[in-house]
Amino acid sequence: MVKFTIEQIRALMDYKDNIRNMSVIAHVDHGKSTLTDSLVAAAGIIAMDNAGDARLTDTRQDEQDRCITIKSTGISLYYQIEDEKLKGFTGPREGNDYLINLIDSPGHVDFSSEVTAALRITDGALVVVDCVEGVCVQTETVLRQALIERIRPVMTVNKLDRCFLELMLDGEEAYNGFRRTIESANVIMATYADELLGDTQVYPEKGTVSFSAGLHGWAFTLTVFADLYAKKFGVERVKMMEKLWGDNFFDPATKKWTKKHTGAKTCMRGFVQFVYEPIKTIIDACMNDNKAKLWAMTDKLGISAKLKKEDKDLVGKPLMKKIMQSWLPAHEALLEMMIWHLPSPGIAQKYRVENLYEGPLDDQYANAIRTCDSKGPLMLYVSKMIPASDKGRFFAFGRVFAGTVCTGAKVRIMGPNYIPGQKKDLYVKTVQRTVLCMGRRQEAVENVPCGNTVAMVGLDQFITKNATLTNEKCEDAHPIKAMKFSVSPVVRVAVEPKNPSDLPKLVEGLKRLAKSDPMVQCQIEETGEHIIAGAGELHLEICLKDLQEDFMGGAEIRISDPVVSFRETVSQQSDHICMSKSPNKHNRLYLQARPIEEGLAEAIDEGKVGPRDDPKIRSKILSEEFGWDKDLAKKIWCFGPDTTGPNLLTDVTKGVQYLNEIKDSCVAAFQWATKEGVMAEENMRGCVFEVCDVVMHADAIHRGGGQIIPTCRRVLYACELTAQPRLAEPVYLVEIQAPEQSLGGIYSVLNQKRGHVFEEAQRPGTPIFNLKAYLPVIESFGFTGTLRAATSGQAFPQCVFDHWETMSQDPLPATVQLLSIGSSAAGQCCFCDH
Amino acid sequence: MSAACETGSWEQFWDIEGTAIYIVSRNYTIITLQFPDDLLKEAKRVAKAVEDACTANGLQIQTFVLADTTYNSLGVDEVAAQHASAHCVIHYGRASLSPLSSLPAYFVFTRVPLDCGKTADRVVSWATQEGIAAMAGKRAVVVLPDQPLLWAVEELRSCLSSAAKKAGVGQLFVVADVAARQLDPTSSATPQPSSSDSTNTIAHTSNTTVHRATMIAAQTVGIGNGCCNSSALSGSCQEQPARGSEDAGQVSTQAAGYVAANGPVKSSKEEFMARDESEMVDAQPSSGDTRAVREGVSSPSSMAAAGLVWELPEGVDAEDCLWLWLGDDDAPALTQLLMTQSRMHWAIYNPREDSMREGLPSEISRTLCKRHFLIEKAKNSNIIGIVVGTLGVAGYLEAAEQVRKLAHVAGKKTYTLLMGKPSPVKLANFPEIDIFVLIADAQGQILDSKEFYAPLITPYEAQLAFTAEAASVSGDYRLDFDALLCSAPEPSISEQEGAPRFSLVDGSHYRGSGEESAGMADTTALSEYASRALHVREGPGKLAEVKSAAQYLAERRTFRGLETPYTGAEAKPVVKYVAGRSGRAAQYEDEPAA
Repeated sequence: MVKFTIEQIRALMDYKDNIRNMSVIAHVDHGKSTLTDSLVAAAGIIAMDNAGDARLTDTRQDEQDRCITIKSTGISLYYQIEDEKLKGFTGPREGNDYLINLIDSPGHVDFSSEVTAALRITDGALVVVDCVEGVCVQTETVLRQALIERIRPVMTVNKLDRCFLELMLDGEEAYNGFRRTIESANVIMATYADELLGDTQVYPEKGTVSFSAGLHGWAFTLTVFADLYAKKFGVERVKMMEKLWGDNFFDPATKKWTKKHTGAKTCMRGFVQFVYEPIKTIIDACMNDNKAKLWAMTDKLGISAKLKKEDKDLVGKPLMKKIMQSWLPAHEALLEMMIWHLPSPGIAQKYRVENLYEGPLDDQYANAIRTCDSKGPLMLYVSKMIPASDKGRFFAFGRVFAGTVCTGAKVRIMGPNYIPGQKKDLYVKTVQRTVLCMGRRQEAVENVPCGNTVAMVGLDQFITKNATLTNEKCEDAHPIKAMKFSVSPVVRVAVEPKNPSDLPKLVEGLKRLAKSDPMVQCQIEETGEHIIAGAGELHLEICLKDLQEDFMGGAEIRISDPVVSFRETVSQQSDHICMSKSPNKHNRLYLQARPIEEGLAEAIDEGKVGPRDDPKIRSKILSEEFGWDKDLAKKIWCFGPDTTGPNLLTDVTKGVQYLNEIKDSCVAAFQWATKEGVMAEENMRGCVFEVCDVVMHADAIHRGGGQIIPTCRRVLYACELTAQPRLAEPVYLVEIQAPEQSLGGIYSVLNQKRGHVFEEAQRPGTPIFNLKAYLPVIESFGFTGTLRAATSGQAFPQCVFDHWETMSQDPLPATVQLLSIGSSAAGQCCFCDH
Repeated sequence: MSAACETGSWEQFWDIEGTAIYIVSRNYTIITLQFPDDLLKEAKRVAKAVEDACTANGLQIQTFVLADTTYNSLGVDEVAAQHASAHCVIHYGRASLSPLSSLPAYFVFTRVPLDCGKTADRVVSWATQEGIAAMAGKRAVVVLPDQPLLWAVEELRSCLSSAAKKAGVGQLFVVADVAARQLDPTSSATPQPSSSDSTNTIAHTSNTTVHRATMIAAQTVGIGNGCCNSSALSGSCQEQPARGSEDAGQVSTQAAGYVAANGPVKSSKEEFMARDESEMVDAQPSSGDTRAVREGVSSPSSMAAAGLVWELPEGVDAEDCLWLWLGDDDAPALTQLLMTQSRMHWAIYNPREDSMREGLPSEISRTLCKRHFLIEKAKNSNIIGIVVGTLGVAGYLEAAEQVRKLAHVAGKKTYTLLMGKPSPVKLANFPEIDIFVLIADAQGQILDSKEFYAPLITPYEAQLAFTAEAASVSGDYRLDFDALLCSAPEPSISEQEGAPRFSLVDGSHYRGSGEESAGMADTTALSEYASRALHVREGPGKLAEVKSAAQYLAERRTFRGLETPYTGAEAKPVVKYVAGRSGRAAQYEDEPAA
């Protein structure tokens, strides 16, 4: 009994004011998919009875089995809102039919990249927070991502049923809990506030916060109750809403509102009096099988009519679910909140354009995005690839920001490595079909105008993970900015086929795996090993499972133990200036190394300081924030490795001849040396190399690249070795929530794994403790399992890569000595193992 | 030499007698003696002994000593020998025995002491213990001796069979022998010794051109047949010149004459002239010893690799054998054998240290893995440098040409470089080149290119990388370039239309080969056009992309760093010149003495 047809949806797509693109984001297990179900049920895709159990957006078998969302899933919903509900809505609209393109995202931190991909193609976000657990680490992460992408959030306090059934909180306790949760979310939003996005704080009294119980399919905003009481009290709805939240107390005895608790027994907070208590009464009545009282209440609330005869025979939870669904249907409250408070594409793209478009903000493409012009040139961002039912093929899933994408149209595909004006990573291909994603199903449509999400068939060969599509003729279009992920692939395993002749299958499988996940990296290493890198253990596990079962046609693979890559760094300035002679002895390079200023490596990682900055701005940042000499800051030759890494080559020479001519050779050597450090052939990190002096042969032929590159590489290695080299390892930030009695177990596991706790706080009003700790990534394998065993399953950690920690131990064992070869001029260093 | 007493007399160590017979029988008078660095100290004495031995046999010869070989001491340095207008090269020490292109050579492998009885006991006890360890399928043991141990092969054989009999082992022990102790160039046109015959002198003077022509002709035939048998090849070699000039005809007759003369002398050696592998085709094509050829044809189980030949017993596959290397762990031939036969069951016995190692050494499997990465990298490369790493091995020109063709078909640009021994310093002078293909014989390959700015790959790897993916995973790994010569340069247009290739090296897509080459042709045409025009417009509102070599240099080879003056720092003031340093670069005069 689907309540709408594809034709209806397609028709709605043209009304950009009546579209809402939104993603559901939250911490793991806060009930995103369950809540999404309620919305899907309202659209008639699944039966109302199953809402909360089916988790339609968990399309994969392992998602259903593990009860965890792994991939973000899009679904388009059609919703007809009543006129009455739109009273006072001032935004532009056409009719009462709304199209909601909704994307359910995973909550586990290992799949944050899926959230990023979902946020890119939506304009609003429904932040789901567990009313008991409150704002957790992943809530913060996804909120931050949303705000950086300029996604407007609304919030829902979920799992309200726990308040009533599990914790039996009284009204005041529950209110304080809700208020704290909302406040802590608002604190995060204030941190990442964005001028153009405006006020992103959420307020229950303004209707931007809803209260829900996803499992039972009911939810409300204060609007619902305000409507109810506004008539009774004869005040305006808006006024009433304000009374229902905050320090507004009502004494039914005196029938007076006060700002403070009067102390009278009958005086109660508005929220408690008018919202919490009625729900509590009904739930109690259902659970205690107090039918007489229940039917009286339902009559009063006017929901008896909605109940069918057989519903009245139910008892306990099913009865409660039915009654609450009829009284406070989740979809009404949530959809209304979205329609009222989330922006339509037309509005959102006005301020999002500068975050999206890489090119000049006044060209026709930027303008088309800004105005969300379906007649303009096509601008479409493919944010992820969805495996199609026929193995090995993918849908390209994305959002049309401008123009219209049609079946059979030729499009220009600009890959992530595309540079405007060049031919690299650029293809012109035909879109074979455009389809809509409806959870598990796909429906073909003729074309999709801007403001909507779309999946396309026939482009998967040309897109690795994401791409910008535009019209065939739009040769001056710039691509849409690449997504920035909040996690990085730090955990790696090597895979090889059990049977060597299956190697081509493995390569093909890796290619498909790389497409299917926005984050995973599939590579062949210098050593010839095939490496899969993921954000965490769970992420890797899922990737490997996909690879073996879906992408390799059943060929078996052997998987190595997880490997963590380290970084090489220096801890002091080189104890002397190192010199190296070129092979022909005619050229000498004098360099020394020193550790980079604290925080600068991170700034380079984040892109605050980088090779593409305006040099004036860069030197200003370096001198003001990191204490660099102003002149020196202008003499940075390059960043490395890969020209963007957190190592620097600087020039501190004075008046040296021919220096300019050897720069490119030095830069090449620097890139090489920082990519493969001298100790473990790992990337270097946080090293500054200073060119102190250079002696060159007068004849250019004797100071070519062949002479300089190996020499410079050698002297860079010498500098590293003389500057107290150290290894740095990646460290996770672990957040653990657990009851008090399991803290002992957590501490002992953390100690055993070289972790240390730096924050421990009790969640107010609950026995739950919130621990934050640092844990070396290399020790994190099997951490979740050990922790669960040690705490009888009560502690659940979330690990996010946090920083690189320099290991204090000297990696050079005492038996390895540095010998300087040659006379007084040290520099040509080598390892001598005695 | 101290070793002399254990391994026979000094003369036997240097094989003075064999050398003299070789020289005298062929009437060569200008002889070059090529020594590796570690044997160079004996060079004078050896040269004298060889001269004396020849004089005793009635032939006055002139000797030259070759040292410091250009590419590696394993190959015959034909170019250096030609500087001395030599008739032949006597090569001392380990040799790669790769086919030669212009000069005949005689190989003296020198000798290292070997206790045959002890070695045989060790080998047999290892094999029996292995037999217990559920290796029932391994029916034979192939013993591959290092070249300095070849002198003891016969003795080892008898020791092994008696030891096996004593231990009651059912396995067969096969001891490999050297493929050839003398090699003639692939063409039949051997250089002529100056003799009293005047026609021969004419042939000698013009030999370079003639043999170049015949060599190529012979090569073509060889390639056409793929792994053809040597009788066909030698036949064609004799026919080919007959169609050519008169000189060449004489040359060929002369060559046939040598074969006849030389047959009886060397017959025992030539029994081993199996030609199972194509690399042996070239080994002694001028051999007239038809018996050996027939034998090779009739017994399909004879094998050859890394300059060694052996015959497997009837019905025994290579996979059914235990493979045992006898000799030093670092011999180049061992690396070649392990790399190319990595799937076999290996053991390495070092008689000097009396140490037995089992299984494929981990560094070899690691190297093989690394090679796999390099193949992937080569697929992504745009500019290929073909480095000529040999001037002697037959077919190197054709191999280079073949690599060039394959690269062009795959849409890549190539540059051919000849630079003597390749070193990191020399190759770093070409920073634009993404990957180098080293054309060298199997044992002259540089397998560890860690120090090189761009990696080096072998011609075989280049072939894998530049041809369609389907062909890539078949058969064993190879180090020589014969496989390359066998394959025809078919342009693989059959690839899927325009589908980009996914690269695991950096996880991105690369254009299919067809598209790339089409694009390249465009830019060349455009730059030709552009050199005459002020503005080139490809379409309305759009400038065409023009690329020329000069522009490339200006854009890419000029440092555009992060600083002056582009970045806003002040330009450096002009400094008045000052007097520079003086003295030798190793230590300038103003520097304190070491």
